Amino acid sequence: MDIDNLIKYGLSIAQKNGASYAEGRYQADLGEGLMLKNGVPELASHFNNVGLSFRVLVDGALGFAATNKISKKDVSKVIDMATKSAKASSILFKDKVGLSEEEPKEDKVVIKPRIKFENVEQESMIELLKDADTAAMESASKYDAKLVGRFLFVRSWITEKRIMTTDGMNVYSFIPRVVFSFRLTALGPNKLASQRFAEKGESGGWEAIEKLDIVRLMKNEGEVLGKLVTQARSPPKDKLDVILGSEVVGIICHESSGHPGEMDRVLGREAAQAGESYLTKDSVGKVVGSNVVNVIDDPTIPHSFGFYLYDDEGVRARKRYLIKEGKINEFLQNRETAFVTGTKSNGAARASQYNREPIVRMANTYMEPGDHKFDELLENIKFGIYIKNFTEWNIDDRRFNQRYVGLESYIIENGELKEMVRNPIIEMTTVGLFSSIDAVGSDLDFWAATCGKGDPMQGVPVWTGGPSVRLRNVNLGG
Amino acid sequence: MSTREITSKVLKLAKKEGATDAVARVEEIEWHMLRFSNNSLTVTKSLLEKGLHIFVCINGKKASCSIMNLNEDAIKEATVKTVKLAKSSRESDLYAPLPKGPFKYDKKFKKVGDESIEVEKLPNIVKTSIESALNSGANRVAGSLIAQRVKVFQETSGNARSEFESTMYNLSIRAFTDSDSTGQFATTSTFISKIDAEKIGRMAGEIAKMSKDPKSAESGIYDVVFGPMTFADLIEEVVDASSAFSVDAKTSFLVDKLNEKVSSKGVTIEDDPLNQDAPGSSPFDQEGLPTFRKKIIDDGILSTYLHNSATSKKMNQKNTANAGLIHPFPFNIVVSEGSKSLDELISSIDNGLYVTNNWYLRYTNSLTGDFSTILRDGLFKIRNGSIEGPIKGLRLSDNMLNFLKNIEELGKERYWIKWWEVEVPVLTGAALVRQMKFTKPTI
Repeated sequence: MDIDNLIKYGLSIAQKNGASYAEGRYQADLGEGLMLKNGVPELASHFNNVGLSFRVLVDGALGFAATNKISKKDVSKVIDMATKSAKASSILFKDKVGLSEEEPKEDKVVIKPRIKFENVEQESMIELLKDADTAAMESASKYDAKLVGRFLFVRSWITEKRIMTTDGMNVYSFIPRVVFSFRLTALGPNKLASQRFAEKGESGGWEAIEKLDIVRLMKNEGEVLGKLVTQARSPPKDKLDVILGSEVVGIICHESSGHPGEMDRVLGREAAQAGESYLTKDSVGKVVGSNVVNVIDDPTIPHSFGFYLYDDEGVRARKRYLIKEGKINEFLQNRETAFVTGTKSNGAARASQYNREPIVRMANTYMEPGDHKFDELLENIKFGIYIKNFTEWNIDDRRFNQRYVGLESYIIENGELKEMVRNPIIEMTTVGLFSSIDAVGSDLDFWAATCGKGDPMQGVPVWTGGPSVRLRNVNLGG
Repeated sequence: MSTREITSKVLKLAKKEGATDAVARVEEIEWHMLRFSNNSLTVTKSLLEKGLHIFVCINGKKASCSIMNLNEDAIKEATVKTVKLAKSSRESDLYAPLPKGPFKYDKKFKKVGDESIEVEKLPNIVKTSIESALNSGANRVAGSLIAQRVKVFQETSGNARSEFESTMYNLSIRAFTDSDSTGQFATTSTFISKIDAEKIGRMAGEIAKMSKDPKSAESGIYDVVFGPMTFADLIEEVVDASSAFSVDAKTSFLVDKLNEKVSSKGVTIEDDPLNQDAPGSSPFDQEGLPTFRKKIIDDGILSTYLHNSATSKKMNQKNTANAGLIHPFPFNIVVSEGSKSLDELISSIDNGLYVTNNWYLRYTNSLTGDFSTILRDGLFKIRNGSIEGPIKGLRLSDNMLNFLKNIEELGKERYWIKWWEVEVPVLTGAALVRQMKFTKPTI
């Protein structure tokens, strides 16, 4: 029996078992990767993660079951597990689960890589990573710094999904992704150390890695780390103006707008794990930032790392303004949360693998660019600091109290970038941070990341991004 | 194909294709979860899976794969591809031939935990834990209960053939009196009978009740009592940093600290793979070596890194049987038993904090150990040896070596902790640590 018929078979069994709704998903994640550690290939690896899952709704009780054993017999078994488990626990479902009604969709989304990852010789990948590694080391050594710990990774995987539901969704998707990531640890002659981790990735093929020019990228990273451990001074303690670079703005939008804007968190579904939100379901219209702040989550950006056109409940994806002119505008919703809030899903349901349930997730979260050129952000600043990127960060489980430790950072004096500073700390509340922004740049850029949420953990590919922004009258933390 | 046939065929084919070393490991998993929030179940989840992991070397050239498609052709294709990847790689400086067996494994650990999962008992555990938290003063409760049974069969080209079955239960409860006033506690065991749902619910509920109406806290340097949840998380970080892979890669704050005093006298931290109660137990590591209990920190001295054959050879140190074929890892972490109760630890502090939980620990620099982590759930001010009241909004922003050095006293009541934030089971009590730095937002 082919996959489509197997899913249909599962859905029919679920309905016979009393499910008012059932959803079947086939998901195959096939990928490979290469890790270079301190200049030497440590491991080449590949994987296939293939299986089927079903969600059933029985008298307001939600059951999920999955297996990698793809046969009629095993599909019957997991459907039986999902329905029996939901029924046996139904008395504990005090709040009956429901799903919003959505327009049935049948569609097929296929993204073709221009250069397939598997067609690239491993030897040439190794050579490229070694060249990048050497470039980083050489540029750091110009400052008498050593890159004592160096990890460089390239990974690629294809996610193939077929989603069918008893209320008419039938969507197929095929999306390849590639990502380059690195972690560098630098040590100066004075024993000062600095560490940098970042990822760049897209949906597509090897062409995205070629476009990155990772040798140039790593040369620059090595140089910055070399300067940091030999030339950077301590950050100032005075109140000052701050420019945050695209990478910092991206993580802020993700952590402080995207996560608190997930309606399942707002409703408490993640309360025991990743936590809740400082927002309530009635927060639309609440002022959380200055009127130049607009934050968007958009899964439909072509080539983006978080790209999809249909979510894992079969709902058509769309661009969502989470914050508009400083006010909460919209939450991220799946069918389960939209049912509770009496709205429609906006296509935010994602499952990282076949054996994970679809929950509310971000895709590509970024601040909408403004019209200030970088020089214009700088020109009015008498004394300030420019934090281009970051190292450590964290935020509380209601997404209100956050900290970003700057990495590549410079003093600003009379509108000009001056000497480098070590690890300036932004430690602010969400509203305090967004309200301090008085100007937004036009220099939009995106960074790849793997967002973790759920229990069991689900890591999904996302972009975080934004332009540079200017904050006025800020005290550094720490 | 049977599991034995799978591993045997993989090894035979890998050798034929040119592998000098190979490991085939099949894991068969039955897994159930009940998730709940707002006093109500949100979803039940079940998994039935069987997966294959292959690792091959051609001398120092390494490759691995993990596949869930276990038909004969897919297994053959995966094995050939893995060897091909190794062939076109380069030699790693971290390589040693796999240990030569056969080995004898402790028969008591062929099966750990319950014979099977009694799924019908799970809803009642959830019900009891929710009711217990509510009866202790909470007005809403969230959490999860996991039940898992795993069968592992592993074979290596070093003639080490091993198998193992175990069950794991994990209950985590978070109780709320309001959004700012919460308490969390968790437990884990290999036996369902040892999951005390009433106690875990009560402990979470009591912390939530004590946390009601917290005041804004002041940043500063404080003496602190870390409850078992937080201490487990911090110690897991320390043990993770003791992996020889991280040390070799210069990403660990324990680089160049072997045989040095890193903590106070009286602080002993062990890795214990052979513990009938602990769900991380395994009688063999991923290279097929028989596992054993070892002290990582012995009375304050860093006494070993965690090794596999490759790291052990490169560093010329004793193999601790903690493979991880690439990254050695701990099985179960045991913190030594102290002599003081929680109340006695708190009474040792004039002006300080009692921290019950944390999450989101990140490093500014893992080589130096500079880190911060957000405090969550009950956080209390201690004044003149007693809890003065709940506070909120602090972050622990300090250094791991400083944390280890400043541990003064360990608690005597120990708990097995494992939850969303703590992956490896940790047996620990509370601990008194002097002079830790706490920060808060500037605006």
